[in-house]
Amino acid sequence: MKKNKLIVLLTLIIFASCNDYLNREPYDILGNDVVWSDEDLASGVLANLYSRMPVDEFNASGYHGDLSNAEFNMLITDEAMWSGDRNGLNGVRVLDPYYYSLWNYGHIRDLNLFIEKATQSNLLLKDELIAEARFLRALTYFEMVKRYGGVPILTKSYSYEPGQSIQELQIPRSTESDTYDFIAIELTEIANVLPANKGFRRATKWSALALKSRAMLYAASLAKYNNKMPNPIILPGKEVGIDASKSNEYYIASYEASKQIIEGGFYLNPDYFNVFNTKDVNEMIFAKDYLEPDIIHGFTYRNATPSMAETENNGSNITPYLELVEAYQNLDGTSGKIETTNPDGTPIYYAKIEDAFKNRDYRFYATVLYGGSNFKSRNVDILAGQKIWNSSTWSYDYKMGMSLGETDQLYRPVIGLDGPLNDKNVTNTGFYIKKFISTEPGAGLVTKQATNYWPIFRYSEILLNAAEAAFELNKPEALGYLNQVRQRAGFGENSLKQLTFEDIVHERRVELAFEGHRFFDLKRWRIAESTFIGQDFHGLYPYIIINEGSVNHLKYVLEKVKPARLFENKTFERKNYYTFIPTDAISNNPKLVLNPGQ
Amino acid sequence: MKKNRELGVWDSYTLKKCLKMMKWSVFFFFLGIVQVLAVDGYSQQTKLTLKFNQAVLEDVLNEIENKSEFYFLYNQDFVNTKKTVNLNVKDGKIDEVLNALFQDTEISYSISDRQIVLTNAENKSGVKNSGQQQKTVSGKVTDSSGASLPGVTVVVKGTTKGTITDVNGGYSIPNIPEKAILQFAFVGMKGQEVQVGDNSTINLTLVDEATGVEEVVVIGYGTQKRESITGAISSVKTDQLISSSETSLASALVGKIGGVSARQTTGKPGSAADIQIRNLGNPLYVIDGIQKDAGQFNNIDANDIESITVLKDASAAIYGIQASNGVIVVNTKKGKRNSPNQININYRKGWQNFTQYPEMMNSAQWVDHMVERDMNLYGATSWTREEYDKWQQGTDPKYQSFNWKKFIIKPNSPQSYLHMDASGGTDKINYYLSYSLLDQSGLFDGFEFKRNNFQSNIQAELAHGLNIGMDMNGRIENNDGVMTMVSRDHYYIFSEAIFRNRPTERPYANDNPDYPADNGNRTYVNTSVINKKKSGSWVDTWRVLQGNLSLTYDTPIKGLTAKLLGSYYFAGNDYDGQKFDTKAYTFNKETNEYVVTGGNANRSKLRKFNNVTENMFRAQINYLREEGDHQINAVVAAEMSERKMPNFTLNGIPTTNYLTLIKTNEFNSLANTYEENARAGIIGRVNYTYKNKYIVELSGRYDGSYKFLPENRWGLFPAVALGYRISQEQFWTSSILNRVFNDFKIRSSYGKLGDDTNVGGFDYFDGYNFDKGKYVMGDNQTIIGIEQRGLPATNISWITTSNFNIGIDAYMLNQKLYFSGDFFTRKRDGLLASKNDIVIPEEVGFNLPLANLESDMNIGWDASMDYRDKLGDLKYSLGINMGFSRRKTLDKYNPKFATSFDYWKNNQENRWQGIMWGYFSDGQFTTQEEIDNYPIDNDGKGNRDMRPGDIKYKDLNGDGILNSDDIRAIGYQSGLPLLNYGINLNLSWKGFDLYMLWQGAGMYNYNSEWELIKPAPGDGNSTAILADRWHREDPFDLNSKWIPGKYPSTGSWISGRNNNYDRRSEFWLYNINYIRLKNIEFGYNISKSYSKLIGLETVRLYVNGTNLLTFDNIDIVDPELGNTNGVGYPQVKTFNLGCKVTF
Repeated sequence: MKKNKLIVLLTLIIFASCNDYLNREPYDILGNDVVWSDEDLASGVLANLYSRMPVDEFNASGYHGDLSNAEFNMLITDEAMWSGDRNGLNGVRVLDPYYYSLWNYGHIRDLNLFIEKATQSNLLLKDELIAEARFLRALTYFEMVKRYGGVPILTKSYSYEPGQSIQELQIPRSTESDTYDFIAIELTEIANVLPANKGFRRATKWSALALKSRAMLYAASLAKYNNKMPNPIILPGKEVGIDASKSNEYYIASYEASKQIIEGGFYLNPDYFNVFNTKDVNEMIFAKDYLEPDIIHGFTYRNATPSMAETENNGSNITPYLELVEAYQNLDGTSGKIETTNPDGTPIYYAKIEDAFKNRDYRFYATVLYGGSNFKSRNVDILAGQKIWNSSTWSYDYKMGMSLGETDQLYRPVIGLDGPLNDKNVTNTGFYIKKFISTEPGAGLVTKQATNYWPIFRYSEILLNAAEAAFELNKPEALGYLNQVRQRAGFGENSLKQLTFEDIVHERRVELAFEGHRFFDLKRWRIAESTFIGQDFHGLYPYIIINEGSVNHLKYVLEKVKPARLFENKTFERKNYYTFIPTDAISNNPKLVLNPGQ
Repeated sequence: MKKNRELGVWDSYTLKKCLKMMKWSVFFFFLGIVQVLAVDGYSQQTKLTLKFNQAVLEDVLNEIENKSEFYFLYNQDFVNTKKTVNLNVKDGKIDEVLNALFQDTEISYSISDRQIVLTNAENKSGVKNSGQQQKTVSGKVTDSSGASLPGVTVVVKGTTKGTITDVNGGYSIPNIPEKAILQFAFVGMKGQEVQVGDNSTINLTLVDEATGVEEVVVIGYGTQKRESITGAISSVKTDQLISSSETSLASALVGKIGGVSARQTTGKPGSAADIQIRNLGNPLYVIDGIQKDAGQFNNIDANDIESITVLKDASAAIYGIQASNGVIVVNTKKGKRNSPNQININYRKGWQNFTQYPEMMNSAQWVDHMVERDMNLYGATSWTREEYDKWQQGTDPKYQSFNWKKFIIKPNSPQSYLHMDASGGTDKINYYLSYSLLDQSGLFDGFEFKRNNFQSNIQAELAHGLNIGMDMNGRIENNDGVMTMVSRDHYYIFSEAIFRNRPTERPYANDNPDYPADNGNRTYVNTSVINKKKSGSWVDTWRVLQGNLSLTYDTPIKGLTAKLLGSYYFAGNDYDGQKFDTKAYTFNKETNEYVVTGGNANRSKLRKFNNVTENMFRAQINYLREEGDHQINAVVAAEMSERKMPNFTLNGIPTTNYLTLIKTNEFNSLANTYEENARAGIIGRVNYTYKNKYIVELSGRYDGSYKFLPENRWGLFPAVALGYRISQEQFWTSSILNRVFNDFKIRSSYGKLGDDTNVGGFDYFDGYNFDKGKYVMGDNQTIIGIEQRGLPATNISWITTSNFNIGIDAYMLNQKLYFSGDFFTRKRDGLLASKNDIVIPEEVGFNLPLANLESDMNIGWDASMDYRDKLGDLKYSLGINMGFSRRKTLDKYNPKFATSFDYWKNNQENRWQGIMWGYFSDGQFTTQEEIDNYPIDNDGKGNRDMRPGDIKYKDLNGDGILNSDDIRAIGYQSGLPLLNYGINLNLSWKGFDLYMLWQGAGMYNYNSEWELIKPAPGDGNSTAILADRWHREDPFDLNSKWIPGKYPSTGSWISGRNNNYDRRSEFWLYNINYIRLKNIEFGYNISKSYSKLIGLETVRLYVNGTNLLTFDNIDIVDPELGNTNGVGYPQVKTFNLGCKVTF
């Protein structure tokens, strides 16, 4: 019996100690009180919020699978086609209206919580931290409004207790113009709190103004061009559709924000290519930066030419169209159309392929790689096949190849080391992208990757914004701003004497190529449908002439082709002007109004 | 020092001797020397030189013991060792020495190995004045085959008096009273007791360890007689596990127990089968009383296992948390008290090959379908007819097919296994020590798995009734292989290489083995580039040590035992991988040079250090009592365990291929994580049997988990079980039933247990997560992000599992036939889900935390039968087991359906899970005309992409469009088979024996996808089965006639083009049934009379094989293969030659 008591006692002791035993502390979770009494931890929270800001940068963020948003933006427009694996991306005949989905309210909640908790804290730098969070919130709302039109605006954090009415959590969409207004007011307020120094990594006065410049330009052009459509896109509650009458005030707001920046001491880097390959604080207003070893991106290894690739099996995903190439003018201001035939219809025989690309807009050489262009001390080797003279048919026969660098029995090239081929990871059009390809040694290694930044706001965009707003406001300064941008591209001073809307469209296309502007510019000007419908996109394939005895022997001819992998034309439908509201959001909030066509 | 060496008194002297012997055993054992250490070997070989003049006999004996390994056993009452003797022997054998020593005395001796028993020759009759009739009993012990059994312990019950049988199984014990009872014990045999009575000769046959109702079975926290068991409990013993050449214990368990399914999706070196009990999920493993995971279980050496018991129903509930999917209880071997030292050595060598691997196209087939693909897709091709013809002819040396499969797969890949153990015991101590080494090469060059195991189990009696035990096991596991260029499973890349490399390409530039060829996009799978020398290698090592220290006290209260058990486990994982810069070449025929045109500069180094430590402590009291009609078996225990997992990962870029250490400036990244968890429980169980007939068992467990807030932390989970041995009833025993059924029991159990899996560790914590996202905040300044956590989950608690089981156990035909059958349900309540009726708008940016809301149930049955008998010298047994289990969803939280079709299709409540949804195929188009007139839009494009041969699908709702509304249930799930079965056959005849295990499964599907069905995926090769396809007579001529084939034409599938080809449908689905000869072993045991000649106790020669035969209805891949694309490392078939000796 004594023994039994002992057992019971032992059991009780064990049980009591068990409860303490089960209290375990996590090693990577920090309590609220700890975080908000420490400046470093608070800026850690801010770093997280920065890292989550919705910019279409180099790294895959999930909603296009392993493809980054930057690449998706490039190939969904008239800039480039997809030459990676999964050829299906070239089969996007009708743009999925849910693409570009960004219902980023988890981020908004955390931003609001940050602002609330920082306000209650005693941190020294809290005013600036709060202003930075408000900038990120304005940026997120802008990225949403440019996709969806008006969205619900939440400026505080919510919570739910069991039994609470759900209705107070159901916030309806604001109108499109109210959303833009909210962004404008926020930015105006914080522009005076944020530091006025240069430096593109954190929000400054200048980045706030740059966002305002762009957002107001979007609002203004939407107000103007939507209403110019024969059948404007409007929802009854104006969640989509801004009154035409507001366009002027938005242009003015944009113009004034741009002017403040222009007076703020920024200037254009004389070398356009270096804007993207150095950390240029004078032209770059706001960018997503990368730093070894942790914050790196794979754009370079995913898009290098095969002969320059540092990583096996990771050739090029993005292949620029001939149409983009031809958009770059000759330096004399004439059209950049590539000549393949003489006026009489006979082919032009080029001694070297690169002869076809002489004397063009400097930005072309910084943006696109073509046959014979020199980069990273190698020449890009593009050859699509041989044209062999057949004396019996009195015409040329094509000899095509199967693999890169293929030669014939006499060791004459058939296929260039860099293609083109109807294959993945090699150009399908005869061109490669150069912009954003890092020149750092090892940037093309999967293990090392690249650290060149992703531009979000840069000075030349502000000049173009100013030019566009001034043009719409009939201000004469417009021409000067545009010519400033053209001057850097090698056109000389005052190269344009007169400004048209088409000039602005053209200049943004070439200056801001591949930077994620094109798709949204086409939308806000309401010219996306006309740009895409019926458009065939092309590549330019060089062939070497095999005709011994002829003067043209071993010369090149160029042929415009439709790449075989590009098996569907791109189209843009009216419903693509506004991304559809995510279905989950709709089913969870009955107050959300659907977008047109949804 | 005076030694008291009475016969039968096992004093410290014998203990010392025993330890000395053990040392010797271990010594020989680890040297692995198979040499003569036999019974007469030592005495024959040892030569002694002794010279004594008028010495005391005792001193002489001492001297002999010191000079040799002989030791003397005698009873001082009978043997006078005080007398003086003379001795002069030079280089004499022991019998010569002893003959000289005892020539003038009454002492006689007998030598058994190193043991010399001295007796008084004059007193042999045993007559001595002790007031009681006493005599000498002698006899012979044999096994059931009639062979003599040496080494059997014979002890007079209740005393410490006894002996060990000699070489011929003979024994002799003097001075035994008539009332005495002799106990006979031998490892692996059922112990027996014999009343001496009038007999002076007792010959005895020992039979193999009991199997019937008397068998003692390991259960949770104790053991129980099979007759008293109320749960669904099956067990296997060591000999059933080791007769296979499987490298993991899990694979060795395949097909042996009804209701245990073991599916092996890969045969990679070191891989194991995935074991499930009743298809419930991953079970809990309890190894020597300690809760462990599958990794620890799989890597125990099968030869070290004494028994494995599977607790399938509520009987598992006693183990609480983590036991909701059943428990596998493993006990390792222990030495037996009072048993001779025994050494076993087992070695086998084997050769492995894949069971089945898809065939690839040759270059003629491949070129043919590439041309066809181009023509079908683009209407033109860059292949010329000239090239095409050359490839078809294959006579030009430049146009010959290369067989990559043959180049990549290394046939007859070797595998070897060595096991050595030593065991034995005195009356105070017993031990089992073992070492084994497994070495398995991969079928791809450069891959290997090596495992070293040791086990050391030692129990010793500290004081009367108080025993201490130290069980230790450890292993070093080495996996190494080729580092390929891409960051994927490296085995997978080699499998992929077989599919990806074109038969028109060759591995070396200009066929010069010094220059791996640059094959463009396929260089990353060119195995001449990816090998240990060129692209790097990796080694993944686990070093594991487990130590269990136990203290057991048999209290003075009869049947009450107290036990304390503490365990410490340490596992260290060290991964070291280095990727080299590689070069791939192209041969320039013009200049005769090899030019580097490919490869990569992806030099990198990855080092990982993971540690796992576990501590477990348990206090336990068992009570076992039989008193008249009452039997009680009870246990109370409390236990707590914790687990800590620190982890380091380092990444760097070495300066060259040749440097293997990472220095600071080569650093790339570092990750450091840490996890820990803790659980505790209090356990109680009582099993009461009345009149061996009525059994009731009550148990309960009070469990706590670190995963819940203190107020939700603890839960009480009871279980009850009943058993009724109806065969013990009068009406049964007196009826004809008894002639058929020797024993018949109905049993049923119901119990609950708490489960915390799928609950996050710290979901109840509010605050911020550290290290979430990083951002460059300034020049060279990266800030580590800290992220707001979601709403804390404060009310999550236990997921409750309820097990119900009803079954019968029956022994029939004089216990020759055993049958056991069970029906069961397992219900889980409180599965986590979110409250979807509280619709939180997405805009507020948070989700409600999960709550315990939903339920599901597994339903199934399992059965097994076992028949054993003999026909003259032929002994045979046949076992069949089967199990079926399927899960259904019971309650979903607030399910909503838009339409009745939606309800019909998507309602999950009360519906079986594991349904494969897809289209019904409806044959293939045969003519273009048929396509043109086909009313159903098959490709979503008005059939403009359709060609003859393409698959038609059934438009079940008749709306003319194929879409998700036409999807129906087309079969069972892929992966886990619902039905599993195994057939075991054992035959033995004289020295020969044959063992066969057939294992099979059904009621599951294989949905072939991607590489297996798609032409030239990744522009690589295609499976040869696709050569049998619809194609045009002349591939270059779009107007030539279509030739029918089994599969659609090439080009019908290309990503994004249309989804007709590979819609999930019956067309590509295999409803699998297979049965395979999992193991077969044929052995021959050399007759003892011969084995003794070479000094060995037993010698066994055997050949065995694994997966040698498979009958299935899938013709392309192994039926158990996991990957649906056919790319992978399927199971291997192995053929082994082996030898096992005991001495």
